[in-house]
Amino acid sequence: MVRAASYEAGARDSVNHHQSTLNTGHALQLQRILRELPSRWSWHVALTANPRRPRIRFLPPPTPTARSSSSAAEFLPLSRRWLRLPLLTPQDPKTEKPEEMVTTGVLASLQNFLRKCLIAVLSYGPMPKHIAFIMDGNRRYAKFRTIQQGTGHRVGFSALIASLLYCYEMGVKYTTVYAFSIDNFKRDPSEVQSLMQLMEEKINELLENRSVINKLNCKINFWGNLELLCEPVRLAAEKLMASTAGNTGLVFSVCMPYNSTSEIVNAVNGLCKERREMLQREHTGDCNGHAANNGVHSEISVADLDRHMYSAGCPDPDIVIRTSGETRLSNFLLWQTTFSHLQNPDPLWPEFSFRHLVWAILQYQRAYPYIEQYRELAKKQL
Amino acid sequence: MLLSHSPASPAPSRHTRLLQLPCPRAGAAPAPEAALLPGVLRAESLPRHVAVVMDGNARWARARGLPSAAGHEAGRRALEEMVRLSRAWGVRALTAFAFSHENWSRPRVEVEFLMGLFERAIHERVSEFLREGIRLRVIGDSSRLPVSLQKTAREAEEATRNNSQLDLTLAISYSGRMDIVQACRSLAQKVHDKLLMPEDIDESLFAVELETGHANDELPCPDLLIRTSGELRLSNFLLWQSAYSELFFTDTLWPDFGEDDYLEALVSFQSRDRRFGARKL
Repeated sequence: MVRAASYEAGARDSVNHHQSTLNTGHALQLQRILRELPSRWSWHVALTANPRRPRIRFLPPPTPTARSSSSAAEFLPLSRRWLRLPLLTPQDPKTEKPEEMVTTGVLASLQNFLRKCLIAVLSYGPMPKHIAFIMDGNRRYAKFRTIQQGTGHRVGFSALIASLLYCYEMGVKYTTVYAFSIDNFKRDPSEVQSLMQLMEEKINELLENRSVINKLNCKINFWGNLELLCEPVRLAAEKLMASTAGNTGLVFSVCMPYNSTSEIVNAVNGLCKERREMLQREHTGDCNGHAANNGVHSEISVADLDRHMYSAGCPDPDIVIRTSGETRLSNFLLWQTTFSHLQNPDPLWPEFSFRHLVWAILQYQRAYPYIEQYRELAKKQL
Repeated sequence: MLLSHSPASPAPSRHTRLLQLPCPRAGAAPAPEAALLPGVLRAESLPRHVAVVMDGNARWARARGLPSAAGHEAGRRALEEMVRLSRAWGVRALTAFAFSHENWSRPRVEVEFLMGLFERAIHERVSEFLREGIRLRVIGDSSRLPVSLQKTAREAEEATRNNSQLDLTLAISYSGRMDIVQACRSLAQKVHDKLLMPEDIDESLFAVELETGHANDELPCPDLLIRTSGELRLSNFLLWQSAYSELFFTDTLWPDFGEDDYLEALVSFQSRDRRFGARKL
């Protein structure tokens, strides 16, 4: 015990000493040193895009009884423990339902009131209409808390529903999330299988118990090559899309399985087919097909391609948030994010909560004048 | 450490070390053949293709009370420095965003000055490119450029066609969306001419049709994309090609972007964990 404590203290001191002078090279060396220490505390050096401020976080060790559902709330990040959102554990699948996030009670009412005040203050500035999330960091979350892999994704799902509720309260009309990429099929088959099962389970839950959908009046879209999914998931997704097609509230788009490059190729495909059919109709319709040939192809424009994208009808995202500090787009909405504000906060996706969303919107409001200026210029050019 | 040992030289013994190998100090001019990397960088984890959005010239000039022309001249010098560093450190391809489709709406005087600047820069540097082995390409909508610039660019491309040390691509009057649209148009034309079925169009075929596919066959996609002056946007630059690029945002304005900032970007790239969607177990 004493030895462990001194290692902890030693590690903490070295962290404090190093943090002021850390650059990425030092952070890597420190990571290697810390790996040798038999510390009870797991640690995480987040190397962000800015090498001058790599983050070091120490996480509490899991207690031996942590796997039982009674103290499962320990795995939640601090922000959500207060809300008492129960955690889905594999041993106890009945505890968590999305509708329980719509909480009641005195404490929750006070919280709701404070949140509404904060949102009213935020609304004085320009609010984004479309936010896109790249939900990165579920697996790392599970690893750092040494719980099973699949549970990280489940906590991520509860974070997703919470974010949707907050977005709805703030008046954000469109939300898009990157749930599964076509590249992710290259992962370990058992992980892919468990993700598919999780998605099927969640979609079926949302279909049966519609309290979240009704509260948000939300219309759910699935963007991507749905043919790549296995049969039960695809059928469930299509059923959900059909049943929420008439709703007029929040538009929630799930990109699954999605790749922006294949979306663009798909759009080009569709456009070429459309042109070919148009030409064939003109050929059979009247006799001067020759005159139509020259003019048609020079008319393909940005708007034509926009029509054939999966995101036809949705405006471009105003903010793209990628959690866990990575600065990449990873083939997500490349066509649509030309003038979006890219943000990469450090917290992992299961830790993303209301205050991170508020901070994201504040940063967007700060950069809003420049973005609007460029957007106007671009529209004039097109 | 410094890569000053050639494979043929014997291992220096204690006696001969002082006599044999003159250690070049950091800051000396790099040897023409050996890539002299600063100690922090590792050769195997350097990006092969770096793209840079050169933003902030006008703001730099305004902050110093100079006309924006001075800002653009300083930006040109910064680009030349970056080309020299990339050549020295062994980066294989460099793409620079010089003028975007949206910049045509700037004041006419500034646009004309910029076009003249590009022409002068290319004209003056052709001999240096030939000497250093740099291959120049210009991508973008060349129909809107002045005729003299088009001619200069074409001649420079022809002259440096066979060089292979560094591929320098200048994006002048370029827009990522228009790039994709023109690729779509040429594919539609091929479908119309019955050379191709719509079902055959896939990602690799599409990538060849893009302007970077014509310009740079081996390395169309940048590994690292640097954006200066603190803006957190892509602004229509290499949309398709930057699908998996690591983005690096910095607050320094482009004329101030020097060796230190470039080194910081490369070090940051080194520490990134690129997974391309899969997971390393």
